[in-house]
Amino acid sequence: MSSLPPILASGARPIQVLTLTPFYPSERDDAGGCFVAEPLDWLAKAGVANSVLAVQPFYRNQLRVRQSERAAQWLRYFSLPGGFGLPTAGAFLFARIVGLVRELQRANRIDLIHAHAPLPCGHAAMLLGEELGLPYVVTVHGLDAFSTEQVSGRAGEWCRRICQRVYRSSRRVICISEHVRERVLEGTGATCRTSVVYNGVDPELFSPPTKPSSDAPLVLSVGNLIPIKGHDLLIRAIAALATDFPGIALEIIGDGAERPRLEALTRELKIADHVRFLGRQSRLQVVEAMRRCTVFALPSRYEGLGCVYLEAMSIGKAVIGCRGQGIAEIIQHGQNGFLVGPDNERELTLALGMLLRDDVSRRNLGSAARDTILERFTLADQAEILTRIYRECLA
Amino acid sequence: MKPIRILVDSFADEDAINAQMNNARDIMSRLDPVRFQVSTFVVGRPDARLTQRPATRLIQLPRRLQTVKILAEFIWGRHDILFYLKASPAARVYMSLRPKWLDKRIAIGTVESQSDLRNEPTIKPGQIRIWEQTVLRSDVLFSNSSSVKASLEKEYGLRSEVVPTGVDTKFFTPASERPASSRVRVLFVGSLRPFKGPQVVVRAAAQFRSAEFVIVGEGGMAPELKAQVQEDGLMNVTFTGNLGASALREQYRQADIFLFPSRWEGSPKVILEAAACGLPVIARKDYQPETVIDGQTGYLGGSDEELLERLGKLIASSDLRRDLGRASRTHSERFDWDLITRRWEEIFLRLASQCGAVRGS
Repeated sequence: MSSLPPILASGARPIQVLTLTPFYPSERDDAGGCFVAEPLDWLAKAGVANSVLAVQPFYRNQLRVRQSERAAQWLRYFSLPGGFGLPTAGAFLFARIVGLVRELQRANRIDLIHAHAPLPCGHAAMLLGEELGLPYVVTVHGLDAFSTEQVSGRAGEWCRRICQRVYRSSRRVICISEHVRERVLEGTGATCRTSVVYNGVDPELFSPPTKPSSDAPLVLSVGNLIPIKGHDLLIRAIAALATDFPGIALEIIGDGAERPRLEALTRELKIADHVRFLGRQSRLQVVEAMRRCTVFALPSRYEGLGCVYLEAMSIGKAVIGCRGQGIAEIIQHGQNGFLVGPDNERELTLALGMLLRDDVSRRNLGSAARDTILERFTLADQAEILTRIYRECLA
Repeated sequence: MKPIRILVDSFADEDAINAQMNNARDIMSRLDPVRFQVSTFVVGRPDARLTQRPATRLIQLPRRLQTVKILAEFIWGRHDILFYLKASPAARVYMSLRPKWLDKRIAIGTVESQSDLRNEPTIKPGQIRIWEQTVLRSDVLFSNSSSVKASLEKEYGLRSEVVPTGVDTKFFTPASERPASSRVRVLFVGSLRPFKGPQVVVRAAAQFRSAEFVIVGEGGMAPELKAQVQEDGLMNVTFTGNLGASALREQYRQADIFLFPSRWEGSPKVILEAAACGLPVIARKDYQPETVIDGQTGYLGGSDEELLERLGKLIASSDLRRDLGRASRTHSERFDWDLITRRWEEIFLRLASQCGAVRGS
């Protein structure tokens, strides 16, 4: 009986969860999947023990576990190339890990599987559930809840059907925002049990700067360089503001296919000197950049939630997001941040100009933003809600 | 590309209980701070919603010589739109100076009561004159109901657009539950002046002794009304005097029926507040309130007798009160300040683009 976990002070046996995720920090990228890794410590405190299987298709670079207290194991599974890769990946992943999971189950170390994203992990969790009689929950991290936008045609249709099955037979579908929940309910005809659990932030890590930032107006954006993030709008807005604010600068953290086009745009608008593309950065570098910026802006027009908004809010910065996106559930326009219309360059420019000009409003919005995070969106809040959901699912 | 700058000729003070000022504050605090920069005056302690609103300038007025400072702001302040023009001495000077120089600003006047002011004895002729010389001289006029619009057209031949008064449906919400055994409670809220009809409420109390009647408000008629209650030996009437917002909300929540026999109104906000709290409303037809749908959210009557007859019907049936009350709440949501403010935003954008105030776009 030595394999049994220690009994907690409360006397309750901790819940044993197997986290199955394609997102997890690695040695190469410590910021990737931090939204999966960071709540785990807090879950442990709340009486939830986690084993983590981080998975990726075999053709990706070998990733290694970061030197970290969060025990995780990286696994690679076979996957077909092309559009039929995603709908079939769950089965391959299942085949790859079923033995391992059975061992864990024998050692009494799984009560529940928590899969991140329906494909492939949710699918594999469903198959594991059928095989081993384990309940599972699945978190939906984005608006493409059925992978039909990522995969088109017949393969996309196949993805949709699998996702529907995954959601319907899961004990709970965890959505990162109401916005995502609506998509899930719509796509399943409201035949699954859903909960909204917003991503939490570590308010100690993302804490306000101790010394005031420099006077030069500095706008920061963090996100992959893909069209939906609206970096082009931001660059155009900076160009429009450059006459009023000659010292204005824009820092862009993140990488992606859009980078050459965006760089060309800054040259075309003659503001290449004002825009710095910093590429992918570590977690701590992101914290530092958020601390030194004047305003955080990400005019993304397709966003389930957007952890970076919450992080910048936690640091106490005035944040600009877009109406109608997940973040609109958290930002109350004019109270703890600004919301502008998607693809609305004019409003974005007005909002940035207003914030850069009006120090008092900027500070008020920033401190209200931090209060919002401290009230409801910390890792501790997230872990508390997750724990409650786990317990409900096992009851 | 600059935001539209609006000077709101009103006060941001939190204790301004004037209905017009409350409306102005409700609109200002909800205007999108990205597109609209707001300036307004303040004498004492400003409303927290406005101090927290970004892009808001509160112009502190001295205790004395306020007119001078207000006038200076009118003349030299950098504004695109002048909104909620008041009948004040400063506005009068500004409006008479205006035709003499090129002023590209747009003055917006709002009319919130019937325009036949001279028929109402409590309003002095001087007050009417200054109103005519300020508000009515605005470039654009807005009425808060169709009947106010019609009256403005009839009395002065002036055209206006209708934007209704709003209500905060998040603040004014129905009571979660009420004790089932308590007596039917009828509520009136308004100043105690003859045209508001508090005397009709006292009459109703004499007629329906099984129900309780609560009269909220103060005014010249108070002694007379209380004497009447005494004389009739009515044990079912309570006078509360004026109440603050939360206490008033509590009264709405404790009540079952809102009886408002006023004959002369624009679009009374108390009807909307009562409706938002889920009360069926009984009011008079005279000013055609759009906030009550006759037979669905309450009743509109042409005479006091008719109002009392409807009241009797509602007192008798709790099912009817419940159904009308629910419909009343739903109807009030169409007048939520958030929606009304979106309409004002569209109007400001439209007017500003007409006069070229949206510079650089």
